[in-house]
Amino acid sequence: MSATGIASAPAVERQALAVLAGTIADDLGIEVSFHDPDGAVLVGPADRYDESLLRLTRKAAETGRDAAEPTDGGLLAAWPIRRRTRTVLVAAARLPADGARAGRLLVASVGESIRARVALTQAHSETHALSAALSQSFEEVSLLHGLGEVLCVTQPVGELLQRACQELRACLAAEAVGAYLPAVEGMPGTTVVAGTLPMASSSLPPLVQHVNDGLGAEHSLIINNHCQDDPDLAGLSIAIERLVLVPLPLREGVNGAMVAVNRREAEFGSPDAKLVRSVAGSCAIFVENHRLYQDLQQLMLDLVRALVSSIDAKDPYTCGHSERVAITCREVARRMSLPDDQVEAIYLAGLLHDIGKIGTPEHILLKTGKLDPEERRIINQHPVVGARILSGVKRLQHIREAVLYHHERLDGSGYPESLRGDGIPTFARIVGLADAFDAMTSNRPYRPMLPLEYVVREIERNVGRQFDVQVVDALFAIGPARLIQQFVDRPSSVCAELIHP
Amino acid sequence: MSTPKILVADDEAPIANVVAMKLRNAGFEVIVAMDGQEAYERAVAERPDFIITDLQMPGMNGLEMCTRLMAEMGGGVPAILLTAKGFEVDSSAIGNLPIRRVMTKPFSPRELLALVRESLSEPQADGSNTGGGP
Repeated sequence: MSATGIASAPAVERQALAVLAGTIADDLGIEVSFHDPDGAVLVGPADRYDESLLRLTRKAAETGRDAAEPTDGGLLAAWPIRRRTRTVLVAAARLPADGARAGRLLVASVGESIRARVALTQAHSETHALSAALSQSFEEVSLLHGLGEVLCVTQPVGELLQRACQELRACLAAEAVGAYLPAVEGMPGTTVVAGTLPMASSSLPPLVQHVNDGLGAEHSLIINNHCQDDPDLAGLSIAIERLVLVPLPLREGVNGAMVAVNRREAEFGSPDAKLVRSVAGSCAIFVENHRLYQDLQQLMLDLVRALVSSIDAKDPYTCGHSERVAITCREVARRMSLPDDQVEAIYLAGLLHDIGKIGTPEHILLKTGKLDPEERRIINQHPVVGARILSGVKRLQHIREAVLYHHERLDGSGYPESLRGDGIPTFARIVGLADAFDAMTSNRPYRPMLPLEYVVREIERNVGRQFDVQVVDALFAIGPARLIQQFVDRPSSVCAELIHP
Repeated sequence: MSTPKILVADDEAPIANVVAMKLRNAGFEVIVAMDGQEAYERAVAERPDFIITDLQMPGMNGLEMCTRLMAEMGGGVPAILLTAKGFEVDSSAIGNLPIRRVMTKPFSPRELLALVRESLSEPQADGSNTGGGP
């Protein structure tokens, strides 16, 4: 009912009052009418337009107190029904005067009053129970909504799982909630726990295994509220009493799991299990997506290496060169504190910087003597050819310029475009130094490798002319000797020959 | 320090009941109002430390109620707006009203309780502090 009275109340509320009036007539033998606070009749006998009754109802409404006045044949009474501080309804009736009837009425009405109060008390406790159940439903809905919001944000898998476990734990009031992902194809496994798991987290995999083995065709999850009765579970941990375990479905046949452990107030039931399953399902999608993406990255890298090796392998002198340049670029980039995604990119650039040499005739590539001007012109095309090849690969556009400009020099005397200073992208400057460094420190068709002290002096001499001082500083900080030793210790997997004696 | 008093205003009984129950279980004293006018009157009479109010209510809406309270009591009472219209309310509608946060329905009662506790332990504009409460 609205605060302003029920004149505007929907018909269904008037209907309820009409039914109530009928019940009162049956039980108490009195005709009750219901009125608006201003006296207008809402429910009542058609002939109830008694002016004095209406006046009485208005008085009751205003004072907020029961009102009565004698009338011929009995008593007129009006009872205001209040909500909060306002009268929203007035009931009125003509009561009998004769003693016996009045006595019976008194007994009946006191009885009614008591019963009504009891019913009200019961209604209150029902409301309380309903509120508690509703509150729990709100928590679950909020959890699922919150997870939905967070799933579309790029984040490490561990962080997502941690948040999911924490929210689930709070929602279920469990002692601990854990998530487990088994290791798969070179990617390590992950175990995440919110709360205190009553056993070592290394026990989680065997627990998952045991439970997974026990999963029949009938059920896709496990609830066990008496774990100590299962000898295998009891063996894993004496402290687990109640358990919900839900598989986290990943690739074919590979399942992780989400587990909720121990809740003191009540056993776990299907609503809890369904909630865990819902959260686990969302997490599984996220994890699988993440792993697919990483697979894709790995695939691309493997393909690039294979491609590059096929070019490098033509010439025993340059065999492994691209991989060494790539590794050097990566270490220099890390030393220069470039962000991780750039470090990865520059590794790729190092691998692919000489891909244009596929367009250079072999007799020029393998010539032992000095190149004549025409031969020099042809081989100097390789950055341009390489960049052109890369321009056809959408995902490699970010390294195209590194390949194109890796022979540019700070003083503008490089090729193909004679760029100067800041006009040369950082990636290109790093590749340029790494390329020159490897060229000087390896055997070439036209000369053997140069001594390290000479190489260091040559590089220093050319800072500002050919090389960027920051890149050079990074290379020297890593230690040229250490770099070369690394290559001696682990030669390129593709090339059989050891280039550095 | 006396028990903090919280006014909850919402014309939907289920919501009002859930919020009141959560807060009472946490030890707060709770007054419930079912419309804006009643909420205003009871706030003036009983000076709550905090208000949790719906936006759309018969008579006066939640923002109007807060505005009138601010005019009547200077400074106003810190409040949380808890409403199905949460995504449509922007900062211009709130202006300089002391509304600490707008929460959208459905909400987490746990989160609401945490927010109330956090807000009650923040220093007020006048430098005073209502204290942490239960």
